[in-house]
Amino acid sequence: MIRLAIDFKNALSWLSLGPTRNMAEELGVPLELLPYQTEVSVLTEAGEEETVAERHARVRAEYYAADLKRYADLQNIELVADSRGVDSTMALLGLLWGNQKGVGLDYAHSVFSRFWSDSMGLDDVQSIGEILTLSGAPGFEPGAMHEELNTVRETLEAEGVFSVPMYLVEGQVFQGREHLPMIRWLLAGERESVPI
Amino acid sequence: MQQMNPLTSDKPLIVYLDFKSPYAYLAKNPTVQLERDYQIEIDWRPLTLDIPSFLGSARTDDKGNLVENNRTPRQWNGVRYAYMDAKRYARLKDMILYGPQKIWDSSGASIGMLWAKAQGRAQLMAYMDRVFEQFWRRELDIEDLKVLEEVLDEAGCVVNGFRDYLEDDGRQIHDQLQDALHPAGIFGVPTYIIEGERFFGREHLPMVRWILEGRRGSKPDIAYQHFPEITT
Repeated sequence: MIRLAIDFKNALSWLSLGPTRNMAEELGVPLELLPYQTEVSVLTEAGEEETVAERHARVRAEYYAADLKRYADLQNIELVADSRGVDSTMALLGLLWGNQKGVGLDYAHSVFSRFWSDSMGLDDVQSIGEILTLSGAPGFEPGAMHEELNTVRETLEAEGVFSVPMYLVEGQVFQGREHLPMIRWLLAGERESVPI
Repeated sequence: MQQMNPLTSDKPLIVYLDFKSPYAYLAKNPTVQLERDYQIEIDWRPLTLDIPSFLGSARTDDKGNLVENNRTPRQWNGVRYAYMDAKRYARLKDMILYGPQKIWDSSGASIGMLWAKAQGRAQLMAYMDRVFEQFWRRELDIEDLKVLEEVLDEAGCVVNGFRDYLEDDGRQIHDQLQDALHPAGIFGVPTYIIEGERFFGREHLPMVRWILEGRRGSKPDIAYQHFPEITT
């Protein structure tokens, strides 16, 4: 079983979905996506009185923005949307609804794809309801899922999750899809050589 | 004294490391493997991290109790995860990696790296191996000049003159390079510079190898991955 904590406004979560889903299908292992709301770092402009810490944060953020694009291109993923200040609660509630009906993966793929190509907002209840219906989970009632969203967050944090995408596999926590070789190795019973 | 350009070299690959980074330690051997696999020479350079500026600072006593703390909860999450993660991979490679009890000033060890590099590749490799391994076993005080001199000696380096180099020319070269890194978009270790592109983290080794192989076939995704040695 692979449990993957994601947030729709986090581009790394989007980039992790395809490779993770492919690996899970290949290994015949169930994959569950779990909602975890995060904050988006704001890319700051270089100021005249920039401290070392501010400069470090800016250079790091500029690098990660370029790096995201480099690897998004690899998956033919479009990253057009501006995720700053976005509240993804409604879309995450939709994920819980989709999970209940067993269509969380298809729902997540559609939401990621539409949001990041700037075709929908993550607070757009109508679009979320439509995607859920198309995915096979009609009748979305967000109000019914709020308490569960909080519970899921508390449970994830108790297990060591503090960011996204984070994987929970075999009692271990991994941040980022770069760990997929290790996760594959764990799920395959550690039979082959160590994957590093 | 010639100033180094952070992004250019007469070697095909520049690699920035800091001895106090567990991720740099984990990256060292798979990066050295690139030299063997592709018959290249790497331009190894020091990047002395100013950790408190981006991860806050903290200090523990001999029993691991926190005696000084200037970190936010978010910074603590990142730091704790990073060490747990590094140790997990280190264990699988039979590497010993104890968490440091304070944030070390590794600039002296970085300048030692420049000194060893000037004396030859064998000396540099021997110096890097010794510093990384002993530092992460908590057997090396990298802030102690005498200790650095001993390691340089063990690595086959001429030690006479290092003391002056550490205070004068070496310090100047080191500081000038560090000042030039942020403007060049370099901020962490390990960083790989190849064909003008910057890659931060050993998860990019598949991409670095793909470039070294002439960009043939599909571009690889990021991964912490083992590569069997290429034999000819």
